[in-house]
Amino acid sequence: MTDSPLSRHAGVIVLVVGTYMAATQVALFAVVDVDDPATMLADPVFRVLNLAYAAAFPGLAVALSAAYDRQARQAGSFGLVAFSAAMVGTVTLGADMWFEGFAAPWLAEVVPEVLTAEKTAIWQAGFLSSFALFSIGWLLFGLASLHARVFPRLVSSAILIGAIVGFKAASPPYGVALALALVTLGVWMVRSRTAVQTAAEPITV
Amino acid sequence: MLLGGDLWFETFAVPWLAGGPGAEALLSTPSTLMGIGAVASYVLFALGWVMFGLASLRARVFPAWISLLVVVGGVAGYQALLAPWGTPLGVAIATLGVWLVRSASVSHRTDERAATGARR
Repeated sequence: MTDSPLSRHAGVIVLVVGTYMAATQVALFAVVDVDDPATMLADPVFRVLNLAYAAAFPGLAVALSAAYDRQARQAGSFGLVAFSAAMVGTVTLGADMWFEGFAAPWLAEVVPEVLTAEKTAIWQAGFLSSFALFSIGWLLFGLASLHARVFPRLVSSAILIGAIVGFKAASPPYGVALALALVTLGVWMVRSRTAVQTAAEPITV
Repeated sequence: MLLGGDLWFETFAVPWLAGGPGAEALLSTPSTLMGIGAVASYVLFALGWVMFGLASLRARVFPAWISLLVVVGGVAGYQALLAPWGTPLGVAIATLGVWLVRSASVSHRTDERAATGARR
């Protein structure tokens, strides 16, 4: 275990990001209305929550780096590939969420017909690649974690499930599974670090 | 990541809008929210890289001139969505990459020599 500031605060970072992501997804789920997207996109509460959820993605990238830092040595080359894939997926879906947060409300206002218009190939490629890269990246990261055996198997398996469900993470509540996996990982990281520190402290009589 | 979002919009959404139902939207004034999103992306990208360059200067692990290149790249990167403003940061990162590769191989050779000397 390295002793960089990122490593020292890794557990707290992962825990906070997971909790924030879960909270914004649940809140967004409460106000989402797929039957009437035009009204939904005009709703200020939805807009704020949508932006709040988009803001989770830069945090998710930092949490991913913090989690990888803990198991980098044991995860080896496959771990590096998996980390890179998860980072690419997180950035790509985060970029998609930028569009949902900032551009979609504007387009719905100016040209509402875009909501029902036929989507071109480049548009669909953008969306589908974002979903797929996010899901595949986190799936690989979960597999690398299982292989590295640093995190408990249960936590690594929760990341795998979160990654599969996360194919639809742009739509609430499908991002909650990965968020809860991160909460569990964060709690474990904080506890295991505390245990290591306690064991390393000299015994005074 | 925010600038990546802006670029995602330019790459995937703008061609669709331009060729179809949203052409008029591209000619209209963006909403306040869209404006905030765009400006925040430029500012955070530039600010983030400038801070990383300054932290590198302070840490004194990378050569100072490379850290300065990162700072300059960060400043120029405010307009990184428009060519050629992303080039300085690209050059700074490539230079840092060359330095990292070289310093890693020097460190590897030093370790090997030390291990051979210890065996003798």
